[in-house]
Amino acid sequence: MTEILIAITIGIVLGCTNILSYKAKEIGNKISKIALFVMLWCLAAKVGCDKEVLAQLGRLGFQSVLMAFAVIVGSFGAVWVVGRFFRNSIENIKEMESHK
Amino acid sequence: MIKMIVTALFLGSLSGYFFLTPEVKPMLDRILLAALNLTVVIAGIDIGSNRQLIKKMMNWKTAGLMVAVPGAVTIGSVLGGMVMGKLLGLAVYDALLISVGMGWYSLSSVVIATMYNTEIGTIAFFTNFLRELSAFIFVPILAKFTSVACAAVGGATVMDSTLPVLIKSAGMSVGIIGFISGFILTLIIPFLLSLLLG
Repeated sequence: MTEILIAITIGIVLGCTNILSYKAKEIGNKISKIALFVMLWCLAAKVGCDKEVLAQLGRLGFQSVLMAFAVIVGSFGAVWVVGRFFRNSIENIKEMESHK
Repeated sequence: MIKMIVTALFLGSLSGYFFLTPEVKPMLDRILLAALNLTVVIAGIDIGSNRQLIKKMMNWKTAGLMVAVPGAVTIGSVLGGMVMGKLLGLAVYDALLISVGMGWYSLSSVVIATMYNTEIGTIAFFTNFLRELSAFIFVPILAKFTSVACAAVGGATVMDSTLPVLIKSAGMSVGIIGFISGFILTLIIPFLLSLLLG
């Protein structure tokens, strides 16, 4: 996990210093897509070669759908409440947008 | 993007089922972590590159809202996840791990599957992937009834993949709020996972 924290810090520092050109960032995005493909492939391969997990895939899928529903409803509700509290700030942002 | 995800998952599971044995799992973990570090560096570059926009929007009049939205997304996700986890018979710790992914399926699933448990990592993947997918489907519908709350649906993905649909459906101002919320969430998710996984 420390590796990931170091990785995100390196990325932020690189982004802040502006030493990367637009083209380099474009290439970075393409590399990111390839890395994502590799990651998902490995993740699926890990599940595919694990017969125990594979046997429970239906149950895991069902649990995932309900968990996704719950986290969306929970966060939607919480932000809806926050939106009521910060009505003035939202108006300020809308004003900033219209003055652009 | 969705095509690529489905293809990777399909090919990966076929390869795993027909050609790989559980003995190769440590090697897959090493590849996973290397690829993950690469994507996290690139996500960090994105964050660093957008600092001017963030600076501009973070004034005293709006700072409270900009911090409150990602805070509410986090608290709402964790509460929702824990309630549902309890109903499904999941351990509180497992439900917490799944919920804090907040849409960043590539990071949360890989980290959880590698450092904790493949089963919970799989649920984390589907849960967070479905969250991103739901944002594409439900944000345009929900935007007809409320605006700011739409920024919550995609979680951290509002910073990138689901931002266009949010802007189109709820307007640029909500898009900016969503972007900053996604930005802050992208920063805190690795810390939350790190904290939870010790």
